[in-house]
Formats: sequence, C-alpha cells, structure tokens
Amino acid sequence: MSIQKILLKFEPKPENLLGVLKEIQKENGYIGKKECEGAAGYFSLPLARVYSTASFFDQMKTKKESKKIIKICSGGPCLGEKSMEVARQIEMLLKIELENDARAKYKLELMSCAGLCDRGPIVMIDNQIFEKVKPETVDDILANYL
Amino acid sequence: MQIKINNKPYSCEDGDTILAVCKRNGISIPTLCAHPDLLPGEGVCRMCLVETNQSKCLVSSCTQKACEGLEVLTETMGVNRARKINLELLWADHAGKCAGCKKNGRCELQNLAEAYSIDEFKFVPRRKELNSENELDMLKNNWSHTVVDEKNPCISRDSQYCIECRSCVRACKEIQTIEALGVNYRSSRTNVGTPYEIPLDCIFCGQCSAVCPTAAITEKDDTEKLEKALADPKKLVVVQIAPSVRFTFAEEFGIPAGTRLTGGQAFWEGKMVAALRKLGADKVFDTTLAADLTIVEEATELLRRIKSGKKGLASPKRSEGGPMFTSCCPSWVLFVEKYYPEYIPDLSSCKSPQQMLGALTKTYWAEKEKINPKDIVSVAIMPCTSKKYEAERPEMKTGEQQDVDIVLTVRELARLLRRKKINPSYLEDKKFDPALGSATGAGMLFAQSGGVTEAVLRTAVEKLTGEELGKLEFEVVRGEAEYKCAEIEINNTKLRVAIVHEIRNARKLLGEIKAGRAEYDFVEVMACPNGCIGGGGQPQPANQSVRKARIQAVLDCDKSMPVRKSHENPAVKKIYKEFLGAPGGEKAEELLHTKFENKSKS
Repeated sequence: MSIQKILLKFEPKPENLLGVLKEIQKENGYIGKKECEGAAGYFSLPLARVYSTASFFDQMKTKKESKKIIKICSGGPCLGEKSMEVARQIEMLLKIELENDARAKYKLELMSCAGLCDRGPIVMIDNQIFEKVKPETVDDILANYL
Repeated sequence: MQIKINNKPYSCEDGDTILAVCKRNGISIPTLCAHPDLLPGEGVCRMCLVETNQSKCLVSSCTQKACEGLEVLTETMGVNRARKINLELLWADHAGKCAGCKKNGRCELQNLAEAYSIDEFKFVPRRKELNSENELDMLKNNWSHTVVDEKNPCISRDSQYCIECRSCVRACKEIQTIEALGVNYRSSRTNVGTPYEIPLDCIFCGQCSAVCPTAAITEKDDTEKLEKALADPKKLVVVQIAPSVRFTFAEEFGIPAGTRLTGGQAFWEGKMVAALRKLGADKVFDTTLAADLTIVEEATELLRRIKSGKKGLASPKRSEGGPMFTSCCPSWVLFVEKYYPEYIPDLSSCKSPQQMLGALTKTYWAEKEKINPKDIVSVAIMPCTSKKYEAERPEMKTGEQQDVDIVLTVRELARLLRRKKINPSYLEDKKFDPALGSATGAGMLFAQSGGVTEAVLRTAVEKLTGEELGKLEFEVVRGEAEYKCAEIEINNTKLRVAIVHEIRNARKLLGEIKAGRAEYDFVEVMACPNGCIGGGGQPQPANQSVRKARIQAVLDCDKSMPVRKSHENPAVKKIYKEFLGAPGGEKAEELLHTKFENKSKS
C-alpha cells in the first residue's frame, strides 16, 4: 500500500499522527524520510515534530534495517530471570555484540517490557515471541529460526 | 497571595512559578533550561530544585506554581546535594573539553560546575580510573550518538556538548515558529537535532545559538578565514561594522548593557575601530552609511509604489496591492522565500546594508583608489548568523566577486580579539575611514525594531511634502511591542505602517493581510527579538532587560548625531553625485538592488 493510501485512511488531525506512523511502519518496515515528509505535509506539521514522534518509539524504525534483529527484554522481571545471561549466550553463539552494528547479518537489541513478565525471559526474533528462554535452550531457537 | 521563601514573606500572583518569584526578588536559583525569553520551563535540567512544605520530595521551581501557604527553602543541605548530583549527571553526558571550547569561560554549565565544584566525576570514569570492560562500554555508550552539523553556512552544531535542555527547540518553536530542531529518540539516546540528521534547513536566525547554555549550538566560526586574509600581504582587508554591533560589543568584555558615552554616542565605537586596526584591517568602514543608502533607495521605492498606485502583488482580495515589505533582514527574506513565496514581489528589492556596502567597496571605492577588486577581502562584523548565509547567496555579486567575503558575528570577533590578547578597553579611540564612514542618526536606528520605518519616514515624508520635518521622532513606531501599527498623515493621504519583530508575529501579520483584516503600505519585519539588537550573534546572555538597555542606547545615539536624516548624509550625497546618479537610477538598480527566488518545497 502506498503512503498516500495510508494517509487518506486518517483524518488530517494531529492526534492521528501516531496511527499513521504505526501503519507506515507495519506496511513499509521503517519510516524513511520520504514517508516522514509525506506525513508532515498531510498533517501540516513541521518535519521535525513528525520525526521526533517517530524516533521516540522503539517499535518504529527510522532507518531501513536489513539485518535480522533479535530482541531481548530488559524489563525488571526478565532481568531477574537472567535475561542478560541469555544475551551473553546469543552473543557467543552468533559472535555479535549487544547494541553493536558492526556485524552484517544479525543485530542483538534490548527491548522494553512486552507485558509478558510472568513468562520471562522473553526473546523476540522478527515478530515471533519466545517465552521462558534459558541460556541452554537459546541455541535451539537460533538454529531453528534464523 | 503571600508565600514564604527562606522564611521571608514575598507577595506573588496566581500562576507565578516559584522560580519567577525568586528571580523577581533577587534570590538566585541555578537553572540551565529556563531562559527568560521562553515560556515557563519544562523542568528538564533539574538544577532549580527546591524544598517545599507541600511535597515530600524536592520539586523543580520552574514548573511548580505558587499556592497559598507555600513555604520554600532554596539552599538546604539536601537541595544542594541533589543539585550537585544532577549537575554531575549532566556533566557526565557532556564532552567536558573545556580548554578548546568556543564557549570556554562563557558557558553556563561550566559556571555552575565551578560554583558547585564538580571535580570528582563519579559518573564518567576517566581513562586511568577504568576498572573493567563494563565501564568502557559505559563510556562508549555516552558518545554513541554524536551528531555534528557543519554543512550549513551559519550555525554549527555538536551534540556532544548538548545537555538536552531543549532551549533551542523551544526558541525555534516559540519565537520563530520554524521548528527546524526537534528532540529525537529517548532516554539515554535522546538527541536534539534535525530530522534524519539533514543539515539545518531553516532561516538561520541563530536564536538557537543565542539561548544555548553550552557550546552545542554556536555560530559557525569564520575567525580562521579572517586570520588567513589578514596574514596575506597581497590582500587588502576592508572591514565594515554594523550599526547594532557598536552598542553591544562592550558586553563581551564585561561592560554592562546599554553603557554609553555622556554625549550619547555608542560606547565602544572608536575602540572597535581601533581593535580592528590593531588586528591588521587596512580600512574600517561603517555599515551605517549603507543603511542610509538603503533608506534612500527604499523610500524612493516606496514613493514610486505609492504614486503608481500599484504597490506590488498581493492577496487576490485586495484591489490596490499589498504593502511593501522591508528586505534588510536576511532571515525574514529567507522566511518569505521558503514559506510565503506569494509575497516575494512585495519585498523591497533593496539589498541589505551589508551587501550594499560590500558592493560599493568593490566598485566605487576600488575605482576611486585604483585597486583591483580581486585583491579586496570584504569583511563584515554583524549581529547576525543569517548574514553569513546572505553573503554567500549567488545573486549577491558584482562582477565575479561576492560583495562580502567573510562575515563575523560579535561573539566571534570578541573571541578572536581575546585569542590575540587584544583588550579594546586599553586602546585609543579611532575614527572610521572617511571614504565610506560617515553615519547619521537614521542609520543608527537600523539597530532596533522600528528603526527602519522611522528612518524611512524621515526621508519619505520630507520628499512627499517637500518641506522640512519639524519633529524628527516618530514615537508611534517606537516601543518594544511585538506588533505595532500606525497611521501617518502626509498631505491628506494616510500612510499605514506596521512593524513586527520575531517570525511568530510576522506569521500573524501575514495571516491578517491574507484574510483581508489588515491593510498596510509599509511593513518592517525583523526576525530576532527587538531587531538586530537581539540578534542571534549578539553577546550572551540576552534577555528583555538587556535588550531594553541596548535600545535606549541606540535612541540616545540617534539623538546625539549631528545629521539625523539619511538623505542628508554628506557621504551619501557624494556617492550619488560621483557614482550612482539618482536614487532608483540605473546604476543604483544594478549595484544596490537584488532579486529573490522562490525556495519553497511545494
């Protein structure tokens, strides 16, 4: 779906901005400069304000991401269930570093709480959620889903 | 309403914040984000914390409103400890490269760090203090999000100095309504900058650099260019000084705003010339002369428009055409070009004084002195960051040379002088070079909002009526109001003028004109608060009271001048006689006028 079509689904009121951005993110995978300018023009808002909104939320990307992203929950309960050990394990297995762009294929990121605190630690690959991940079981997941 | 601060009663009004009450009564509270020109603070810097009887924890005094029975303590142990910790946290995210910093000695963060003796750096491990790899990560994380912008002609940004106080974002939004800057990302990755990290694309008024407490946003440094030109023996360096600069320059060397000589003349005018001479400038000219030329040209243009009945293109609703807008503020011109291109035909075609003098230097003066214009380096000392952009505009050319080669703001010049260990206060006063150096009171008025109108009126009214003006002061166009309009009666016709400063008011005015609610013949717009006197390149700190003092100095200086009407400036008369011909004539048209182009994106 083109940006224009997404925009026309919403009324040009500032409160609809987030809805539009979410939709663009879903359709496009990221919110690029062109999309951002389109939204700014449609809502008659300054580009800076649209970009501030888009970049504020972790769930929205402002750059095209060609890497596979593995996310680990950094919420308190997940940390308590040793999510960082899982992260270390993934780092070792894939030879990548947390929050580091250097490797070409994968990127390991922390995410904020996904609301599944009783089933932590949570690992997310693309949009798939894995619950109660242990350092011992993480290599299985990686082998199957990457 | 009465509240108690440090056990003393103070009266205050509904809606006052604690910080406002304290400031009014001379109680000092440190703050980095509550700039007096902006709306009440957002409580971001957390430096203005105070203890109150209404809340268990400390509150930020810039957001807490005064209420009945409020008791405030501003300097308790707990308050000071919290402030110190917050300051250390700010410092931890700051580059801390003070020695080589542009703002060294003039940085609000540095001043506070000194006042609270931040010397332990608990939160930033220095290289030798690093104990484990984890701490190295911490250090890396701090600098992972640095954005440097040097790709625009006027303003340089370096986010490693940024403390995210948001003053620039608010200045851009509240004063100028441009919103070129925004707060991007969040929490530890928060970054103040442009969308998609594109080079700054705005009107370059520099108000963001004027409110920045650190060196995160500063004027682009061209002092090195000037030094290079001065060191080159083949080049002739010709400097011009803007009208407003002489009233504010002394502030950079610790002299209070608005100080003037007993006669009313600008305090450091002669010393500025002397300092520039000492730096190595070959000639020092006065932009005020070109301001007079601008006035004469603009008045001629206005009279022509009035006489022909056609005052340019305007909104379709109006039959007789729109007002004539001044064009001496480059930010305003850029604003029209980018956001209201339909009003471009209404802009006066005159160049700004800076460009006029630059053009005259490289033609009239060079011809007279038999100098090849290629050997002249034309330098301008300006109150404004936007002038840097204006000097670079491709249409600002005579022959192959740009009219003006280097533009320095007041802050840059002062920095260069300090670096060269020249303190103007020890220098003997010197005079401008007489070739292009005589000024009038009307030209001096250019320094503040309303001045161009007053100066134009002095010339236009005399030319219209053919009689000499009795009273030169037009009080109706004076004052600090942000939106002034007046009607001046000349020969039974009414000349309707409007004066605005700050772009938010200009937007308001354009809206009114567009809707047909207001009609004017002449509109003066200055992009900065109170005109050039509050410009983006002027000394910091600037606020309402400082600007008021500066304006008073300008008005006094006008009064003290022997010649107070632009068209009576002997040098102006001479230039027209020897070189330009008549005002609005062919040669004047070629050298003193310019064209504007539509720069809007849609």
